[in-house]
Amino acid sequence: MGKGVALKDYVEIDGHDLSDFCSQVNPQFVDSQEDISGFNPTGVDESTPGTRAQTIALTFFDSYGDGEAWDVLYKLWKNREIFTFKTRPDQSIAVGSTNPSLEGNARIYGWSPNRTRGQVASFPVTIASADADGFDYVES
Amino acid sequence: MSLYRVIGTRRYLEHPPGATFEASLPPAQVARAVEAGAIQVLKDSPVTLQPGTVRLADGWSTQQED
Repeated sequence: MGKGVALKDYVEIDGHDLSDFCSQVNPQFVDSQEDISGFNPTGVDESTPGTRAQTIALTFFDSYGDGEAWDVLYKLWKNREIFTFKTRPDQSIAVGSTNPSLEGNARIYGWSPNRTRGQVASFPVTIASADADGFDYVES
Repeated sequence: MSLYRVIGTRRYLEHPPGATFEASLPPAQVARAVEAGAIQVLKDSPVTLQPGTVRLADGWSTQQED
């Protein structure tokens, strides 16, 4: 798969295909950087990775029907459920080396829907890895 | 494995509405999907242990101790 525009992404939460309600997928995988510098001739810092945090920020359009974004996501947050998450660049073709699927078990730790007059009604949701397996890409 | 049918208007686990599929899903996920009107359980197969697939750890007594 060459260069392209993000148009066909697949977004699945707790089994539900929410692709059509989602307009943004923004993974943030970050290792903490721990300073282990000692005195040295150059004065340059020495660091090592510490804890690893994996979150994915998503944006969904307001949609309140059964099995739609609000219905699915609010209950997962309210009941503090662990759920499966999957996303891949192209929903029209199968998972593969050129269409890897980012998958993992997740939780929602916050709920803050915003509404602004005159703007498309959408809300942000950030999910975080729920177990030590974290989020990872699979190719099959 | 249990048998499910997608009864909602949207795909579930990439299966289109009306499709049937077999899967071993966590009970909590099934309950949520049923409540959301996404799937219907056609045949529920509880998890069972097949003979010969498990054994007690070494050193465990096979007889009840009083």
